[in-house]
Amino acid sequence: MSYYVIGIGGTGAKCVEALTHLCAAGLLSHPTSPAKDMYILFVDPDKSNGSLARADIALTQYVKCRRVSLGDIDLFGMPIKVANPNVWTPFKDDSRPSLETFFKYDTLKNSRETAGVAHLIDVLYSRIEKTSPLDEGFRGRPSIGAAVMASTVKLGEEEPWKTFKEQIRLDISEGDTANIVLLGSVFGGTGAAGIPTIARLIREEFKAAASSVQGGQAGKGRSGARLGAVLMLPYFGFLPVTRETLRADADSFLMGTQAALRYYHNQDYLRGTFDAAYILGEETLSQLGEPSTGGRSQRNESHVAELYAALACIDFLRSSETGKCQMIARTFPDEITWQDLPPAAGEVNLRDKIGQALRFAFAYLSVYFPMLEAIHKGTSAYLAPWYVEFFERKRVSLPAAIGGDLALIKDYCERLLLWWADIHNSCQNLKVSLVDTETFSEATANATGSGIHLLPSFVLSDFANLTLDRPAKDPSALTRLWERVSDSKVNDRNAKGSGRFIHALYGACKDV
Amino acid sequence: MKHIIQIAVIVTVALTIWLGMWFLEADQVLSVYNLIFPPAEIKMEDWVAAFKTWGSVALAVSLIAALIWYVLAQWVFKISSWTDTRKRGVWGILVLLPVAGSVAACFLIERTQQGAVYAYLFLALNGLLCYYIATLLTSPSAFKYTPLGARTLRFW
Repeated sequence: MSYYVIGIGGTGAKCVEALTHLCAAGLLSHPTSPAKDMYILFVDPDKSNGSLARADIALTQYVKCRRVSLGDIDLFGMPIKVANPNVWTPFKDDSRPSLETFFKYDTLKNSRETAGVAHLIDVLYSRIEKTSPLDEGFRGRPSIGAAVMASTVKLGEEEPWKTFKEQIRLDISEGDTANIVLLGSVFGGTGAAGIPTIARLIREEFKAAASSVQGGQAGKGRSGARLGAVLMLPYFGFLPVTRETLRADADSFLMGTQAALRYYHNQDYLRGTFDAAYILGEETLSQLGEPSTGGRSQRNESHVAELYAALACIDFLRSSETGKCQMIARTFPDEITWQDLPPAAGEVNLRDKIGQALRFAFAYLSVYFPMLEAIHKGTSAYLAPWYVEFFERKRVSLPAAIGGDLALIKDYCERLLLWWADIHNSCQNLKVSLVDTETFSEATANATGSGIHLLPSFVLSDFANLTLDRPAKDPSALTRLWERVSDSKVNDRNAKGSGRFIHALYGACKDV
Repeated sequence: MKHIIQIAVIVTVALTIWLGMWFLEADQVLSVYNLIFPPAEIKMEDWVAAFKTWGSVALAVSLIAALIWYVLAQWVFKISSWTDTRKRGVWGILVLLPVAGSVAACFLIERTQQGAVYAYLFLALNGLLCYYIATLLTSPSAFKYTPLGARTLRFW
């Protein structure tokens, strides 16, 4: 069995980024998860979308870190396969696509047989909507996106849909259930258009395929494919991009959301198409920094709502329950704490798992990687007993490791901590009290707005309380960690090279 | 429990060396093999008794030095940064205690007509070995390779 995750639009990409970080923390790790891997692909007409780029980088780094032989640990436990190509766009070779060029409007209009189609396009779309370039997305116009998506998404005819379809058919033919989840917003352009379109195509495709499967879900009219959706309602806002005439307008988000939800209800998506739907939003919209219509400059900050979206995705992938309608809320209107996070299909130790990953990243970046660099530059190795155990005695080349596996882990750890810092700092009028991000990051104002940066020196005395679960400081926590790592022996045959050290450090970070 | 065992090991090392000094060095090696000739006015038995007494005191000083090292490494030193692990200097300074104990013992034992070097050698070796072996075997995990040579000799 495999998991299939499709991030649609910029919001979908950010939710996939959040999911990646939760997978890194071990929330879907094998062997607790029955799936053999997770297949991820993005759908976005705006390939240069900054949010998409960031999610792609996180995924790329995750996949590289998985190549380090860490052994059987939760860290990077979920095998992730990124589609090739990783982003599907409806616009293949067109450098400045518009609705007009996409539908060959001029040809339609000039032909007597198709002039009626051209007139219909005139009725449905304004001149600006027909002529505005769409290479930076559908500008918050799901009507444009839906028309484009419906014409171009063809499961099985082009990559990455072809592999996507083949993998799911393989799962179904083996009697497994393929769990497919779509993530995106209902208030934007790409997500609002893409989710219902792609969902319908997937449901129709695999309903037919599974009708020949004996037993299982076939009798209920459902395929061996479970389809879920994480639908993001408005949770952020932005100032209008004044230089653009066709642009997404934050003031219309709520109206667009209302229309979208009505559409889902009227078309029976929530019961007829999806096996489960998770609808998430935030009452207080966080204002983004620099507004943008798309492209590299559209790099919306991460938001805690995306963490919820990722947890919803995990809940769907791991749970087989359907038919229930559940609501979640938080204890205080202006604060989010660990008690407010859902358990994600039985993952009751959410704080422990995430805390372990955060402690690992914190300790690795602040203490252990600098020590390894120091040894590489000539500092005596006896100072680090764990170095003697995992590198010297195992004949692991430190120069090669520093430039290879250890650097990969370092890069990901930095990204992980920055993401957690981002979701704590981006919410206005809402305090996120999950992680003590001030121990490793700070928000600074620069020429383009505010940015989150890792501190040059972390606040080491607060290591024990990263997940804000302790009333008092524990300055000995790092000392105890050093002792545990120095005492560690790794008997996992699958842990090799510098992966043994990572395995030991991660294991030692389980308890403070 | 772990700490009790470690401290027991330290004491056992000291005790073993003490027993060696008491029964082997003093009685067997120094006197039986005629390595030592005490001054004319002092009987051999009295000289051996003095050697055992001051040798025991020197060993006790070594034992205390080893225990101090263990306490410091286990409970006092804090590691927040890798630079906090540089404690070989402290270990080296604590070596001065068994050295001082041995030197004091050498001065306090009556001089001999012949063979003093053997007595001094044994006193020094006892003190240094007690400290070195005890710290080699029992240095806490975070500093287990701090004693010189531990990286080569210690595999646990």
